[in-house]
Amino acid sequence: MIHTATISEFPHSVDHAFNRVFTEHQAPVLRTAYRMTGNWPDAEDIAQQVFIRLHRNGLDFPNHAALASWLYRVTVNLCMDQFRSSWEMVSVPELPSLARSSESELIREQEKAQLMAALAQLPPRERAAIVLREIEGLSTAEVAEILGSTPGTVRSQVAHAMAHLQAILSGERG
Amino acid sequence: MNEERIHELFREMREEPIPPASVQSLQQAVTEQIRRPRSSARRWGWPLGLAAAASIMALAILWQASPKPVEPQQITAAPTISTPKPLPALPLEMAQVKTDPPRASSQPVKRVVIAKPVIPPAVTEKKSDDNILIRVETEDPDVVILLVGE
Repeated sequence: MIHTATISEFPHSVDHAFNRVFTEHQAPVLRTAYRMTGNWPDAEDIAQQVFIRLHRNGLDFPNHAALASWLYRVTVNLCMDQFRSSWEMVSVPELPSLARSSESELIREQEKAQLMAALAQLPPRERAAIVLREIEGLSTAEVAEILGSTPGTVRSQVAHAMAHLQAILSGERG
Repeated sequence: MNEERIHELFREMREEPIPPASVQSLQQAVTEQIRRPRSSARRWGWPLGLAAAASIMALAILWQASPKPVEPQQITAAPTISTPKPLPALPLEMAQVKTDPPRASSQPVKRVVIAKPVIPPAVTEKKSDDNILIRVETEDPDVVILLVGE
């Protein structure tokens, strides 16, 4: 279950349908952008561009799946554009607050931070594939449609990404 | 960290809450962008650009289709037209002009006479067989034209 912050309604000037779509899809868009970029400010900028494009594009989608696929695709493409514009974009993951964390929670958060750092070192296509497949939990066919490739290519990218992550994390530990 | 542990951490990441500050910041930014009217330059930029490009292409096509004008000859200097001065008005009374009387003995005028080429007349010879032979001699002694009539 995805826990999202409760937001107030958009003003009446904004279309009600858009308000509903924004409320429903803001979490996956923000989360995907965050896992791709590694920091929240960049993720907010990208998510903002995604929803502005959606507002200008209109909500003329045949079904809910098509809308979700469009949002993921635009999010990933904008992240890729940002990677190209900024030569190397490996953001340092935000470290968890240590104030009220128990020791086990602290270890878990440190492992997540290490995993995020390793994720940032992957090539953009592999990173996008593993974020959509493993973190967002989409099917291989859905990821292939979003990335404009084939399911076989996605499976190969995910396998390569997992091997890279293990190699990076074992190297850090060694 | 083995693969199973990585999968487990990924699942936990999926369920992590999004910071409320990020959500509110996103909502405010999107609301401002939607409320902001698009500037007229951006609204009419594309149509105006397309219209300008179409006009340029139409002019280029018309210019290529039209016959090329004849190049004017180079004029070294503009012709000058001199207006003649008005003649002085004639006096109302005709002046008496004294002329010399004709001379009694005038010298003969020498004239140059150009001799015309003399073409000899055609000589007609009559043969015994009632054939008419006309011999025409030309200025060239080596050329003689003979006309035979039956």
